[in-house]
Amino acid sequence: MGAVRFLLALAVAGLLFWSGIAKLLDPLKLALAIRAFQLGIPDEIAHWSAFAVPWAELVAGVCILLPKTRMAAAWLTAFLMGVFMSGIVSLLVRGMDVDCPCFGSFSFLCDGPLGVCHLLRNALIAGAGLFAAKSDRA
Amino acid sequence: MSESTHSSATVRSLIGMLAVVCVVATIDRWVRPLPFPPKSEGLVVAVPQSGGGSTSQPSAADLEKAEVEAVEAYIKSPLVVVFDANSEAGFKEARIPGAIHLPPDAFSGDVPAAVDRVSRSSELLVYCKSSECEAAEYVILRLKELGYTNVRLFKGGIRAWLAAGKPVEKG
Repeated sequence: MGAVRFLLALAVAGLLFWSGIAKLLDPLKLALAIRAFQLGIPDEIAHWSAFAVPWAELVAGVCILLPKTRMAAAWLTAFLMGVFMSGIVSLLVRGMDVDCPCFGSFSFLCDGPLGVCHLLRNALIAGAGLFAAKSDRA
Repeated sequence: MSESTHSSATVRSLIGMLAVVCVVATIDRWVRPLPFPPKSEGLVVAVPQSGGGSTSQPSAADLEKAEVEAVEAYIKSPLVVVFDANSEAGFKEARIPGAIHLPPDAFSGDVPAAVDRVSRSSELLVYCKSSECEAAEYVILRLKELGYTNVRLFKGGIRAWLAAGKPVEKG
């Protein structure tokens, strides 16, 4: 069980690293993507979020590998995924078509504009992180 | 360790992580400021006027149609270079005749070859899928960083072009 939970945590960490580094290499893409959501977020906040989101992913990626901080990192991951999913739902409700800056030039499981596939993928990542942390405590 | 001790340790760790993220993101943003433009200002090709002497505001469809007409007239000039910022699949599906493919990913390394061939004094028009996509604005910002000053956005993109029944190239 220990090996399984570590592998699961490792997989989530890998995705968070990949996503965080891809976004940090070009924060402008994420800033513009946030604006494309048309949520009325001021440019200043969109700028800051374009840096905060990838750093949060990197911090969560590191901490989910450490047993002492695994649960907190899993909650941070779940929070991030929850924010992304809320944004995607708002796009779907408004019938908008926005591309995903999730993994830079690459895609993981889902292609094309943000949609149901991305919702399921994010739920899967959040669930995997929480499961790895929960089994860690059991 | 008890459940409550676990919970408080988790909360403390979470607060610590958020604090680190806030500090690092703020420093990073300060070190690498983004070239963010004011929203759409100075990028629209033409500001259409409502016709017929009516005092009512033109509808979104009227504005889009007028923009397409303005773009069609604008790109007839041989001095104008048109860039398509859509994905490769989107570019192959439909593009404005003569448009050069220039997706955001083309800027990940050296100056893209498609851009290098174009004179700094050229007039450039960039579009992507629709007014909802951000790829064209990204390309415009990167082109401006490279010294191209006459860069404009076709906000309606290929969807508006297709909706107006204008010709496209495929493949």
